[in-house]
Amino acid sequence: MGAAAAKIFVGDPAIVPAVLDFVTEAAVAAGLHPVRLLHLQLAVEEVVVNISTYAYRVPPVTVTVSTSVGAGQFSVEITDKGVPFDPCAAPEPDCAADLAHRPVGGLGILLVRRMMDEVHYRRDHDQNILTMVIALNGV
Amino acid sequence: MPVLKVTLMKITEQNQNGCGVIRVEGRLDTLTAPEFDAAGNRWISGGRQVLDLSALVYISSAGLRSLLLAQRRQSQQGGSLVLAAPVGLVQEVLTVAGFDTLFSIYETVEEACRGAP
Repeated sequence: MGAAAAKIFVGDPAIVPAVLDFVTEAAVAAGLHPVRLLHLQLAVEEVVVNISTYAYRVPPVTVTVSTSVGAGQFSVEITDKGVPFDPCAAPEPDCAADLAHRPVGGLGILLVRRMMDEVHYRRDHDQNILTMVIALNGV
Repeated sequence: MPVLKVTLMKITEQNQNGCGVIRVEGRLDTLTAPEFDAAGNRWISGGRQVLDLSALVYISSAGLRSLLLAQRRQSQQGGSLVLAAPVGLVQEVLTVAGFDTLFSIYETVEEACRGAP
């Protein structure tokens, strides 16, 4: 891996813009295509909002975000110390249900999976570690 | 690269020749969705309303939730919400979420007002 940066964010969903700024700056410096940058921002927002909303039974919410570049890929690693949760194993929402039965939850994780090229989860030292990878070449 | 640093949304409600058009610009996300929901108190009427998405550059699941709730509120009052001119990421997200089965989506505001391509 080449250039890498990490930062710790403390708070609730209000930290989202600061996290997006941090990731965006690194992604732009790495040359990520503007179309893919929006995909990346979307995925990062969804993950951080999920952690802020569900991961911690007791505040403060702490999220560590790190970025790295290597092998034509841009990676974002998001770590929290909340309750174990593997977004890769979560069931997908029913996107064919009618208006009355359409679930309002679960769409965020679906978007993360669809927008990123790779999503990996691991639980290590009581931490959730989610790694999202996006290719740097092309749209 | 500050263009994407702002988290802002602007909502404009207008009547275009008898057609109710709500234009939403910018980003409909975790932070702006509550404002969108609150604005619904002004325009959700049970009539047919067109949501002009042509200047919306970003939507997350929080925004999808707002669209879904607005459509439910419209539906409960016997009305409907139709979408016009989604582009880029917004169009992509609507498709991934299967929202084309919940909303009529038109390529332009004019077509949405007319109710036909």
